[in-house]
Amino acid sequence: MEASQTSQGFDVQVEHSDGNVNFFCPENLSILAAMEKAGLAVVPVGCRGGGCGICKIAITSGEFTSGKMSKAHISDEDINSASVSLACRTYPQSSIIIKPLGKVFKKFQQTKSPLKNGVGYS
Amino acid sequence: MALTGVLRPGYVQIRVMEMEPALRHYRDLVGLNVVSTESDGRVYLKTFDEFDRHSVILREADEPGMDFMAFKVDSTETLHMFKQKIEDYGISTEIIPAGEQPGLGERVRFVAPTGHNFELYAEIEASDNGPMTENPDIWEKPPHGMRPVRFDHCLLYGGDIDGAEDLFTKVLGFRVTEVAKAEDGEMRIAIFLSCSTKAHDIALVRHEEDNKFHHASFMLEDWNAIGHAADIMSRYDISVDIGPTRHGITRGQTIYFWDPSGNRNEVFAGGYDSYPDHPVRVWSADQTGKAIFYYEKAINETFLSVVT
Repeated sequence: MEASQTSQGFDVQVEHSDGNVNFFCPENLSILAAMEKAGLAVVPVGCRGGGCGICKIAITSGEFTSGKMSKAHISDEDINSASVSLACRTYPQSSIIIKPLGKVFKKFQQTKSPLKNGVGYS
Repeated sequence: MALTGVLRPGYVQIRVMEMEPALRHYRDLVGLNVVSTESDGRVYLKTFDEFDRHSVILREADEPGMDFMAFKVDSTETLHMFKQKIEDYGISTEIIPAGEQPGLGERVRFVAPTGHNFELYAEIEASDNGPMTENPDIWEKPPHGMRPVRFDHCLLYGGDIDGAEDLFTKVLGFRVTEVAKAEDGEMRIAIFLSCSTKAHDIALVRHEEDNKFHHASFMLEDWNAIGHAADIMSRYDISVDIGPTRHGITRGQTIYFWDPSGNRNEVFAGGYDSYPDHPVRVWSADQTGKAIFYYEKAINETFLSVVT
């Protein structure tokens, strides 16, 4: 086996306001799993199961395949346009450039929602 | 009988995106027993130590999350009484006839102010695989996986947790055991409610979006069982959120982890008993780290951000 075949995979570039970050994504690993393996935290990590949407990314350029993702976060149009995906379910098929989009809360919500019912509530 | 009205959490219906990986998770690794698979595709499960037919229902869907959580009440009369009380309070109810789920009697469904669907029911078939009652051994066959004892509670995220607290306490007879407060010292950011002598049967966290599912929790026997569950999580590469650790709130020893569709599960052991005469325990905003994760003394971003 040639040396090049033992290190098959693709380069991932993460666009960040404070500088781009690059890491290597081995074949058959998701972008998120490869990032965690590389010891980086440039895309927020959540459930790792395509459910929570925290690792949502925009695909600036590059080819990829994807696994099952929650319709609450990735619509059929998103899949067809191949412009938005979840990093935990995204498998590069070429070098790829991505940008994190997920919403992360740093503290508890501190504002009250309006009361929805309120009969007997004071 | 001192414990009346709402007795305890009974079942939770969880949406999963693919059934086979979900079964590998809930059946083989968490260690629930499959009771039945019905023609609509829903799979019914229970722990080895529960008397009733089922406690967890898995439904395949395009997005994960919780369809509903249900509480068992002490009688059919009580069920009808609660239906009336909920309607008098100003919330509409829906009757789901007996048999919509196998073995389950009539259910009363309503939407809480946080947007979550809850159900009440009185009748469910006894399991033919429940705990022994005559000269009862601790189990008939050794439990497998993480050896969960029971489905115990849920933590749910939504906007109007004040309204939900009002409904649960004034209408359904729950009481608040513990709260975490916001920086203003008044507003509640997290509320823990009990209908029993447990530290909590349902917990609510204030969130910008309604009807969100934080976790379903399974009680394990003790701290050693938590360690065994952690071993299973590492061995089988289950996605772990945090733990083993302990909550300041409830004092439960815990691990948070995710199912293959991103629904959070908890296994926990321990915690204090609560009684109706006990005062409410209160955590101030500067101590919320310790309140949620007692050893780390800090909340992780996933606790606040990752829900389904």
